[in-house]
Amino acid sequence: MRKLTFDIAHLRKYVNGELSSKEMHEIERATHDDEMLTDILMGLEIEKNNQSTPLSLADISDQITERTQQRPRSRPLWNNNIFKIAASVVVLLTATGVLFWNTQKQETHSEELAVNDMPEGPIGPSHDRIAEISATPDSVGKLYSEPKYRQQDVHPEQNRKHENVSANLRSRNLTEQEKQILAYTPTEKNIEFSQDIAGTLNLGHPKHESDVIIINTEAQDKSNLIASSSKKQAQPRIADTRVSINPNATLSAAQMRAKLSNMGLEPQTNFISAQVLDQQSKKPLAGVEVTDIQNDRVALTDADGRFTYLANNKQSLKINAEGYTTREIATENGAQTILLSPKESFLEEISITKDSKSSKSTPLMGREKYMTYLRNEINKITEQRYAFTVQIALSKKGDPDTVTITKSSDESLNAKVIRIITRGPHWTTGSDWKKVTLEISSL
Amino acid sequence: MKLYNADLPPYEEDAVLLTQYLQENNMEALGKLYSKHAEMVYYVCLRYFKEEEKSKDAVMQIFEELITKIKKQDIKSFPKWLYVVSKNFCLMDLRSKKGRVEISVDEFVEFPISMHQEESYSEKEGKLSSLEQCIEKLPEKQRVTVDLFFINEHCYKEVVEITGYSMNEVKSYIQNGKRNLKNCMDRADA
Repeated sequence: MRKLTFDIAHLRKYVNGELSSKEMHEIERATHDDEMLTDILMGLEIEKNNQSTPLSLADISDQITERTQQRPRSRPLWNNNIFKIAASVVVLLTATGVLFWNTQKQETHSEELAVNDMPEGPIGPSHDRIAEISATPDSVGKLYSEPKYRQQDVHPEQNRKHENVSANLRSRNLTEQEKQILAYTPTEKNIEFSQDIAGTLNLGHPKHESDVIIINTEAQDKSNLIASSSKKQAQPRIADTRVSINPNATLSAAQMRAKLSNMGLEPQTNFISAQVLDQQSKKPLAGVEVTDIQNDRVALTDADGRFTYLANNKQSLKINAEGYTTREIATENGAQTILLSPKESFLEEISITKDSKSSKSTPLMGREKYMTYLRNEINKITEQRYAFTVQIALSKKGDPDTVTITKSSDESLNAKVIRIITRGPHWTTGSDWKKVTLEISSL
Repeated sequence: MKLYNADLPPYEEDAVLLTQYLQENNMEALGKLYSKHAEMVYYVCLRYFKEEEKSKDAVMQIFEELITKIKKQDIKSFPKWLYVVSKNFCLMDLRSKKGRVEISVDEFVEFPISMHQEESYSEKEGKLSSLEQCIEKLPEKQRVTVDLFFINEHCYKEVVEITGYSMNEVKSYIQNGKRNLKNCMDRADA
């Protein structure tokens, strides 16, 4: 089948009826096989019917140029987030500490009793404790002074996170409340911090997944600190505190359907809600691209590594994050957790290549693709068979700087071939970067 | 023509610009690449949105999408890929306001039924006789229009003039005739 390409100006002539019958038929015939052409023609017809002025290409180009001269948006790094989150932990704990300090003074007496009722013997930094501590700021000092509680195998590595928090604080004078918070924070290991988009801060412990402390930044009332424990079934002593299960617990399929029906979507639509995590660290991966393989639609994960996607049928999604191996998942209804494993370090590979003395320069896109590219380009300038032998001197950066043609089947094409190569894709330089020999011939 | 001068406004190919962006994060290259096809994107958007201003905005919104999307995919034909991205953008936008806009797919011609229309010459020859038989079986109006359009290669306008049918009738007869022909051919194959 003949492949035709038309430019917009030509198609506009068609719409305006300025073409010959033969040319018109040519376009009409092509629309039968080319959806894109059909759409463009319909767009042009709408323009004509609306009697609007044709699109000013210059305007659009200006806008694009303007956009390309902006500095690229930098991706947020996880490391930065740690500090941001750590800082907000401190601020929020301080704020809630103040609130409890002020509101719970009268109740302090009974709270202290509860702490004293705690069993003796090895006391671990468990969540039960956190519940107690947060409910009774007055008793914190006591707990802290118990040597067993402090000494419980504290690993420096595990505590690093908290040292960061405290280090920031020590650089200035601490308020009384901050001291209270610091009093217990370093003794509790493995607390995981996470913050979702709504601004709710979650503190969790890997061993007690259902135990979380939630601090809501959108303070609706003054007691925002929520402590819970499934082990002890601790009833909140403060009227405003509520016991909560992990808010990250996923919705049931029925709940999702209910959500879906609110959104006015067909019942057969699959609703996928998943979280993308690093396989090793189990940290959420933000900004990961989730592509629907069937229609190229893309969803991005949020700061929590979560994404939702509506699929019309049984499709699969491609999860693609820089530095991780790509995975494909089926679009099953409901929630799932997707673990991505990091790729072997790409940087290392490059350094190995550079170190070895006998390495060969290769086109960045790979040799095969490069040759296809060259042949495609040469086929545009000649219909004859051809064979060229060229020598390329690469720059240190891998630009094909200087190209010499040593053998040529058609000298009149030499200049064009040189142009194709010098304007072509970049190379990774090997030891032969000053003189790369390449043979190009028609298939 | 100076062929070696790198400063010349170059005859830059899609593939070259694309690799420049992918490998060096060269936004300017992406801008040039997109500018080449922005008109196409605009008219595709106009076909779905039917509003000029909205379509112009969409052109820039699609460019924003492109900046990240393009890195994640192995693109073989940039215009084709860009078309799919643009169309999806429009459809997603319209879907979010579902119930208000109806898109007619029949306004111009039917979308291609088969994606594999490449056939070898001999196969075509073999099918020609059964094709002729199938054309004979078509209803009168479809047979005439199909014959004029596909066999005698007249454009729609001429078919209108010859037959006296309206433009919309002609388009719909050709579509239906083509579909009937395909069904007939499939039966002949089976």
